[in-house]
Amino acid sequence: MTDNPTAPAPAGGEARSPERPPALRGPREGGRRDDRGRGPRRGGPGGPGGRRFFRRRRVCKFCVEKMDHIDYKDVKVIGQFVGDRGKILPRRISGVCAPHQRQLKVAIKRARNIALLPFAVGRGA
Amino acid sequence: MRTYEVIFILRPDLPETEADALVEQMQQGVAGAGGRVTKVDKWGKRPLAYRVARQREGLFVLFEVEGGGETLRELERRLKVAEPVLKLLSVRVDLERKRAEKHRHKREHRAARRHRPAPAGGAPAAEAPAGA
Repeated sequence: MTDNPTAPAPAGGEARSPERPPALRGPREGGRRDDRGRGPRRGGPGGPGGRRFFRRRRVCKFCVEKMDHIDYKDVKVIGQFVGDRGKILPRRISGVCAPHQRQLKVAIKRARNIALLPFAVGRGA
Repeated sequence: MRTYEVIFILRPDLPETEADALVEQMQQGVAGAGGRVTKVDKWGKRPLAYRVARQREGLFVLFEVEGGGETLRELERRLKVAEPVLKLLSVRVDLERKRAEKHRHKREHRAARRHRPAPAGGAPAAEAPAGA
């Protein structure tokens, strides 16, 4: 039922769409807001096969902006590189280059230490 | 001489006068230990990413301190003893800054060499998908 995406689907009815094909996912449904712009989709259904062509190589944000130093106090920047569970995003997803990822790692850990970033989010955190 | 950043969190319910007094006191402590506080930055109240001592927010204060290890040790000791301080973190920043500086210089050099007529402005890449 693509023409009525907001209908509160009754449990049991409409058994066809627990896993709709990715092409049907509109921009506003499925996934949280902050998943966007972070490279290829994370996790979701579909598996690793077949999506390879969609991946475009992302360039390192820090290289693009010519940042020589990643500041642990800058939560706005650093916060983009932790997932919604508070984990550090791997390079293969964020596209950050190795030298910057190393700096980023330190910055995130410092930020966690001073309660600017969480150690863990959700379940019991 | 080294440069450190010391950042500490005070209880959110601390009256401002007391917070100021504590900051003042810490600065004097640094001076007494042969150091210098070159910057004081009060961020004010902001939420903590997790609860600390049952608090959900805190008053953040940032010091930039010049001095040796002794200075820092004394400052940390004082902060740890002070009751309203929930958490503190000190980071040595002079080396990192030097490194960043070096990188910047390197890049400028490279850029200057690449375009010989030295265009001061430098044309930015036209259609980068500027998301930020």
